Amino acid sequence: MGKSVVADEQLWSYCKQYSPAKGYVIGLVLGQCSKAIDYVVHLARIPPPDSSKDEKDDEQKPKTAKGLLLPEIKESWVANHACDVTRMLPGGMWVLGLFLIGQNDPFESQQNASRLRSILRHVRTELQKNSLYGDSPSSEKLILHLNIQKNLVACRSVDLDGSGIRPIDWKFQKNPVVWNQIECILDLNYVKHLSQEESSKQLRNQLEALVKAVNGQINESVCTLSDELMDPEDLVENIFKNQKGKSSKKKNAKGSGDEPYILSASLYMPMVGGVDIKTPSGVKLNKGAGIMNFTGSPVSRVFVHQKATVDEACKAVKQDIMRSIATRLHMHADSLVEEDPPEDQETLHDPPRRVMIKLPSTNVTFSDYIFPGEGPEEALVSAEELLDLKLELEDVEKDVEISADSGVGLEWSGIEPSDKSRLDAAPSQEKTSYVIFICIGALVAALIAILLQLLSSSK
Amino acid sequence: MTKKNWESLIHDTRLSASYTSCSAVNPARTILNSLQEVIKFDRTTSQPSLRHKSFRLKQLDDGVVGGLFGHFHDGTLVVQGIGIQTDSNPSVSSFLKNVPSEVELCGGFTTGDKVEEAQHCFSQFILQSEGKVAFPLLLSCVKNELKAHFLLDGSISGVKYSTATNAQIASAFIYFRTKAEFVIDAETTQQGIKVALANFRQKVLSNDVAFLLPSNRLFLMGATSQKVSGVPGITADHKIKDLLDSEHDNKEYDILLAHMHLKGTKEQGKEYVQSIAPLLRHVRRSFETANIVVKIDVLSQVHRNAKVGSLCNVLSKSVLCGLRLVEESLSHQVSSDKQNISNPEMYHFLPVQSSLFISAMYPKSSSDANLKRQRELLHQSFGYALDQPLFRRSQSYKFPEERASGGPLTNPHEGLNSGVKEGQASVVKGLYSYHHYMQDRFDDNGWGCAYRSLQTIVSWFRLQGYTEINVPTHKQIQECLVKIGDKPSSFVGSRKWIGSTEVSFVLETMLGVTSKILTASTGEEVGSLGSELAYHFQTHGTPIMIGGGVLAHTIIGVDFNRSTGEIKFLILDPHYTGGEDIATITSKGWVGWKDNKFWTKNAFYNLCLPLRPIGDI
Repeated sequence: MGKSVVADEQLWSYCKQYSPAKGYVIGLVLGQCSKAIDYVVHLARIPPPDSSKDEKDDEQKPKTAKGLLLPEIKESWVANHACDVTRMLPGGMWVLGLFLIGQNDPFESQQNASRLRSILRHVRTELQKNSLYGDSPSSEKLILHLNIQKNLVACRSVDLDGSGIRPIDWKFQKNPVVWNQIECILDLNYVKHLSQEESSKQLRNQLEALVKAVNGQINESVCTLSDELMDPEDLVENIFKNQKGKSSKKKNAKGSGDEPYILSASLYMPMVGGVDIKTPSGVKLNKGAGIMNFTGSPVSRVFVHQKATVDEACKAVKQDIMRSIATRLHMHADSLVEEDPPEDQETLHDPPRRVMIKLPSTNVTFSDYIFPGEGPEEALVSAEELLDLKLELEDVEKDVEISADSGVGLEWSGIEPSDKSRLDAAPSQEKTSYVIFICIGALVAALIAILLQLLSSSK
Repeated sequence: MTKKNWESLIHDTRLSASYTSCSAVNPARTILNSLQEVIKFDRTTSQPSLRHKSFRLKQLDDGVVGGLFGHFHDGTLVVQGIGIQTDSNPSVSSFLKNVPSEVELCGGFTTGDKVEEAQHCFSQFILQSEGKVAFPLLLSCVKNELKAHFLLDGSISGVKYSTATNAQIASAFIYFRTKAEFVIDAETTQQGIKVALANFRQKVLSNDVAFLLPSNRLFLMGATSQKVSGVPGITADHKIKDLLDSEHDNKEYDILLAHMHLKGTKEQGKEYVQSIAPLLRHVRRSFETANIVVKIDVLSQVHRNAKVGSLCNVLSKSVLCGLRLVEESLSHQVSSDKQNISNPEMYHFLPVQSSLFISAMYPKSSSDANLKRQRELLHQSFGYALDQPLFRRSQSYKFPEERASGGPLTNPHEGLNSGVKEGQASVVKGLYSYHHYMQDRFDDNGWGCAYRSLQTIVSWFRLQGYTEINVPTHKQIQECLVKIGDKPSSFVGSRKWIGSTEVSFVLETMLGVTSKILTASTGEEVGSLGSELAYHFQTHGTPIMIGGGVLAHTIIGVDFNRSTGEIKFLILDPHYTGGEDIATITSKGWVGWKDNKFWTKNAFYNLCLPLRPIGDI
């Protein structure tokens, strides 16, 4: 099958800045795959872990110099980088493969070819470890080789389940890929009673259980687009065709056919035939030791290519929600210095919130998560480190979600009324202090990230 | 339930006025259904419910006041049932949660003497119902004469009505059975139950719901937006009847399933919807908690010509009613016996001759005996006498998807006519299943007919809710007879016949049911038992086992003309060896009306007439 890959010409310009004298500059190919065409949205160079500091020191220095030989490229840092970057991608987008900028075709040497396969395998394993960030649905990964001097572009598809390597058509095209945007706001309100056993578990494990439960609900849900329940095989663009004439939700009504659309998605949880309902033998009575209430309305935004099916779009939405929730809770768990809080206390956890990062020359946005107390400039740091993007503050949409640190605007259904009566009865209520775990800031996060990278790369 | 205020009452009054005024051209119809059970009025039919009716009449003394349940659509009010205030349940409008949504309190009735008094009662009644009366119809029964009036601006005016058969009701409405299941963690306090259900209730109240009709994959969204999707060509403006593939066949209720969905996202494009980063709150304290599976299973009764777009709202309402029943059941349980909370289960009942479904919530682990008080309340609330069970679990309405296929047929005799001139037919009351040779992969051809007849009798007691035991096998019947010393132990596993006395022994032992034994020394003499058998069917209504010569049969009805003496027996023949095919069974006479020549002339006959425990509900 003549599958091909398309990418914006802009990305070619991006690559041109790297032209190592020897070895390769390596990076991630990010985008969306479909049956016929893979759409590339961004190429992100992976900075060699040890050089990151030097580079920051002298920013003026052109980045041309440093290339690495393939044996010098550690699988683990590529894989870790792929994980970190995947967290930032909207649902429906994945690490599609790797790009290499260098003078020699890496597939000329058998050794290099198997090295690349090994790196790809490692990336896949790492991504699959956390299924919520996700590995792309295709077992075929891309290896793009660019020879800037000779203006050569060669792309190959490597089948990780088989042994096949085949060339694949890669096109840098003038007309940018049109991405239709789908948004939704989740209405999250999950209440769980914790048994004594569950309550004694580490918070990290409790959060993991929470992520799993919410994931189950999201996955089962029926997804509507623009309030229409569509045939999964139908094309997303047909929704707009059907809606023409009605109050269209087009971003701006200029009328050109290639203008990206924005539409809304809704999720409906089926209340019949759910997975968590088994025929009960009776009501289980437990001694409860605590209540977890996960509440809020996180935002979700995904982008699908023009010929995407309804099924692809709905999957992307669900994946985005889960990727985002899992990322927040994992980041939160990573940031905690756990100490046992005293009995009979309430803990309010305030995981990092989502901000959007605008990519240059496309309407697609990636995400970053900033902890309470951090500012949008943190997203610029991530963009540079992980996506190799130099952005300005105005490229960060910092208000897609408001922080709810004081609990304003949140309803604690599932606990409140009984609590109130309890609190009314007990005047000692004032003593119940809210312990808010707020990370000390970017420093800690960045330090942990760097430490992790150092640790893993020194293995 | 939407609260009907006085304005809407006036609105409805105007409606009624407009069509009473045009009644000269096209007479307005107020259809009264099932009220023959309550108040006697002229009907030129000989319904088998006639006796039943007289029971109900005795129950309702002069001066009884109550509410009417019915459905108003397109200028026609269909009255389907009554509600009576009791000391333990003082508000008729509180019964609305037990009936399908869209059935509303549509008026009141009184058996009072004078119309003025009735009017006064009615005004009182409307006040008591907190304005929940959707339609100001007043029925009064004065000296067994039924009159219908509308309340217009404080004065009443008479209105014409006609009576409807259940078939007419079935052809006017489509029923929706909505299901939702979810698991709650609840603190075992009344407050805890309330809190645990609050989130779900809030979602339903704020219209964050959708319903999927699995029969055609239609998706009904947002009660306010009336959005319909999923089926090309069906819009909110279509009529409900367009959802059905075929025309109504006049026999069965059309019942469509609906699966509830809860919206998990917020409505976008509204200014006040602000995305908020999620927070996690962890409260540590110890408490008692119960993990409860909540199964909502509720009915709505919708007119065929109603709009598809209105459906989501109707189904939401029914879910709220179901939720109220769940909450009531659980609250009651936690306050009475915390340690033995069990999952509440919904049952729907359709008493014979009625067209009004009545739903009740019974805790799974409660025995029928423990639920007696709750059943009594249902009898009293809906104006049913306490003389026979109506709301036992086993009597719940069997929906098409619940009817076991391949099992024995239920009431195969329905629709057969005796042909006795001016005879009075008295047949078995309620439901039984047809048991005959070769069923259950058991070869009893040539010897098991009396066993099968006994099985049919037990099935009647089972289906009427008098017992929860299963229909016994041949071996269990034999073991029972050995146990009571009637037969030697070698009897078990044999192919020996039993007779009507053995049948009565087994009924006594297994069900605690006593039987009357009649004898006839010849086949001819069986024909003289007409009035005795008619009396049996009218008071007890159980199937009769008759044994004579080498054959046993089941008598399930008798049609008897007292003046001419002509008599026919409705016979259910256990000797049938074929499959459960209603066409064969009726056309070949395996069930059918037989004249007196059916009985063997020279045989001696024994009849076993099981007596139902009258007054036990």
